[in-house]
Order: sequence, then structure tokens, then C-alpha cells
Amino acid sequence: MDAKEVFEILVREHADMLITFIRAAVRDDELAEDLFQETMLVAWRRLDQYDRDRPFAPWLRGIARRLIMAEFRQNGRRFYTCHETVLDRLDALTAAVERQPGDQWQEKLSALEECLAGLPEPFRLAVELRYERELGQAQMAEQLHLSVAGVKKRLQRARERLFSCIERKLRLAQAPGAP
Amino acid sequence: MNDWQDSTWREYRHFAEELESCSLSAEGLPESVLEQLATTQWVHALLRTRGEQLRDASRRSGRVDAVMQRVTQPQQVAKPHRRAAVLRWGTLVLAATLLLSLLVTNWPSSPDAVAQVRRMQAAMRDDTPREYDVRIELESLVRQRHLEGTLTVRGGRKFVFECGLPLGDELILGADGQSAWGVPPVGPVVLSNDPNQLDRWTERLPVQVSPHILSIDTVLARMATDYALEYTTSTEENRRSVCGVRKPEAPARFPDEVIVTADPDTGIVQTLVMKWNRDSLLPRPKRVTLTFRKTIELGDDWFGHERHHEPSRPVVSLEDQPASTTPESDEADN
Repeated sequence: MDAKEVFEILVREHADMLITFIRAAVRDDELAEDLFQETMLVAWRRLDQYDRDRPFAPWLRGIARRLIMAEFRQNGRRFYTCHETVLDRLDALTAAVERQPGDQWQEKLSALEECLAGLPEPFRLAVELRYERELGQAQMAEQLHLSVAGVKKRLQRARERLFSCIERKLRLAQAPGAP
Repeated sequence: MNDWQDSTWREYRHFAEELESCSLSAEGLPESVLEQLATTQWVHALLRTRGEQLRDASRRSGRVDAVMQRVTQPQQVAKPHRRAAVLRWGTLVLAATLLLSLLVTNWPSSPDAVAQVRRMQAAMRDDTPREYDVRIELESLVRQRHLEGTLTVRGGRKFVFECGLPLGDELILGADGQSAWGVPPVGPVVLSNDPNQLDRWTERLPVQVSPHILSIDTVLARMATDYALEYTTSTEENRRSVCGVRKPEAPARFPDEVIVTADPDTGIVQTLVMKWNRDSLLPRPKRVTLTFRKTIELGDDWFGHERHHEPSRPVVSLEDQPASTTPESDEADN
């Protein structure tokens, strides 16, 4: 296999992880796509600097972090809260998923599916409307018979419940003797 | 989280609930709040990636294919910005050729075309409110998309532009004849007596739409002075269009090309198309089209910002804010 073929395998393997990591920092979807492309192109250019004894994912996130911070200094309004502390935490959370068994990001993230299935109905429905059907907050308010503020609260509580559940499962999975 | 101070907890909850609506300054936030916000942002991103795969699995492979296409094409590999540089040089050469050909042929504007633009400007300055559909086509080196909005104009100096944003929020920009103002999805309403200040404020928004291109009067005034104009033949309802190419010395933030079509009897603008030949890694307007829809009945208060937000929203004057760039003079805009 030549370098391009190897690189393509790495890109396919890490694409979901990388776009999720970038999306967690960037609120503008177009910007997230641009930063994804730019991160991969920088990685390709610097492939000879990559230490093959180390995992590829943290190296890739390191490039993305530098690009994210550079873009944030230029155009802060297109980001969620952006700070080294936030990026450190995002990096640690992503690394925790990376350590899970499985070849693909979605396999490693089976905890998310399990936690979603366990969410109480009102929260699960809010997540479905927002993230699967991509409804705006006003449309969700109409369907759920809530105010827009109520929709925001429900979504946030759903995210908190999901996080607690995922964190618990990831810790369980890392515990000695875990299946 | 239970041992947090109440105020810190409330601060986190407020920020977390507003996650999709606003950008938050991290300055001054305690580490514990930042870490909690990071978890919220992370779960939000996990759900978005999962949702994308459920709705459109091809988008993932398209993303990877785009990387590999750029890696495979030698001229795009050396540097991510290389393609932009190549296009910039290409554009420069093209512009130089166009300039030369225009100088050789007939660089000065056709007097008839200038007169027609002046006639349109006079017609548009009457007091009747008019509504236009607006389509903004954004393009980066990677993707294209478009936004739609509505523009209401009255006379030469009043307008209101309402535009849906990608996350379902709305951005409203306007001018009441004295001040230009903006109502972002979240955060204070801003206003300024200087349209250039509002212009700079819009540059920080997810969608950069300059108030200069939303004022039909400003665009027509610019056409008459800063563009080489000529009539173009249009078979559409016997209407003739005026096409303007921006002169090299004119401000670069205005479109490279403007095509305007008016009603032959009244001079009222029916369509206004603005085009930019730039290339950018980030999405920027490439083409903006205004299409006349109808005349409407509106009270004059429609053009004030107060009609477009809750009374409780704070309103700040951009004149009171520290300027991030040196203000430019732009006397022709009014």
C-alpha cells in the first residue's frame, strides 16, 4: 500500500471521531466541515512527522485543536464556549470513547445507543425531534406543547441525563473484569 | 455539581440551555463551569453526528471523499490554502484581462444606463413599502448552501431584512432612516448611526450579510458612481436590465457584478442580482438575489428595531463599544 492508501484508511477510520470533536467546539456547521478538511490536509502534509508508534487519533485532534484556537481568535462568535479547558475536557472525553472496543466510532459508542434507549419518553422524544428530525426549537415547541424556553430546558436535561449514563457506562467498561 | 454555589450553578444552566443559540465568552467562567459546558457541547456533538448518520449516511463518505480528492490532486496538496492562492491568481489574471478588454472597448458607462439607474433610484425613493424575496447563496471551497429571507423597504433609507439562520434562529437587520440596527438570535440588540459600524458587527455573525447590500438605494447609488454600466438585452417581458461591473478603484466589499431589472413604466426594481468572484475557505455570499414580491401596507414603526424584539431585550449603541477596526468614511452610502 502506498502512503495515500494508508492515509485513506486512517481518514475513514477517524472521520466520525474528528467531526464530532470539532462540532463540539464549533457552532457553525459549515465552519466545522472546513476545519475537518483543513485538519485532514494538514495531517497529510505532515504525515512524515507522525510517530507511528503512537495512536493516530490524539495526533489528529492536536492538529484540530490548533486550527480551532486559531479560528476562534479570528471569529469567536462561530463557536460555543471555546477555551483550552473546554478543549482539554473534549479531548479527554473523546479519548475515553476511543479506548472502547470496536473498529468504528459508532461501535465504540454503543453506550450512547443504550443510554438513549433508557431515556424517559419525554426526553427521548425531544432528542429525536432535534437531532434525528432536525426540527428547530420553535417547531419543537409546537409539537411538544412547550414554550421555546421549555424546549431548551428539556433538551439540556436530556443531554445531562445522557452524559451521566454514558460516563457511568464508560467507567464500567474500563473497570477490571468488565466484559 | 451539588456543592456548587447557587449562582455558579444557575450560570451553567443558563449557558447550557442557550447552547444552540449563542456563543459564550469563556472569560471569567470558573473551571468547573467550563468543564460542565464541555460535557454539554460534547453530548450535543455526539447526537448531531449520530443524527446525521441516521438521516444521510452518504454525507460521511462525501466528507472523506472530499479529503482524498484534495490529497490526490497535487496542486491542492501542498498547502490547504494553495487552492485559494491559485484561484486568487487566476481571478487576478482574469480581472486584468477583463479590465484591459473593457478599456480597449468602452470602459466608461453608457449614459443611458446611468440615467436608467438614476431613474430607478428616484422611483424607489417614494414612500410605498415594498417587499422582496431574498436568496443568499453562500459558497466556500468545500460546500455550497443558501439562505432565504424577506426584505421590506420604504423610501431610500428604511429597510428591514429578516433571515432564517442554519440552526433555526432568525437574524433581523434594519434601518429606520436615522440608525441602522441588528437583532441577533441572542444577546443585545445593537444600533448605530454609522452603517459601517453595523457592517463590521455583521462580519462577526455566522452569516455575513452586509447592510450595505440590503439597502437598494445604496446599491443603486454605488452602481451609478462605482460601476461600469451597460444595458443588457432581456427577453423577459420586454424589460431591459442594467449590468454593472465594479471599477477597480471601488471598495472591494461591494459586489463584483450587479444586474438590475426594473419595471419599464414605473422604474421600480423587479430583480437585483449581486455576484462576487471571490473564493474563500469559509462560507461567504457568492450571489444575492432580490426579487420584488408586492407592495404592502405598513406602519412606519415597522422600520424601528422595537417592533422586532421583546421589550426586555437590552439595546446597545455600537458607538459606545470599543472599535475593533478603524472606521472608514463612506459618504456615498447615504
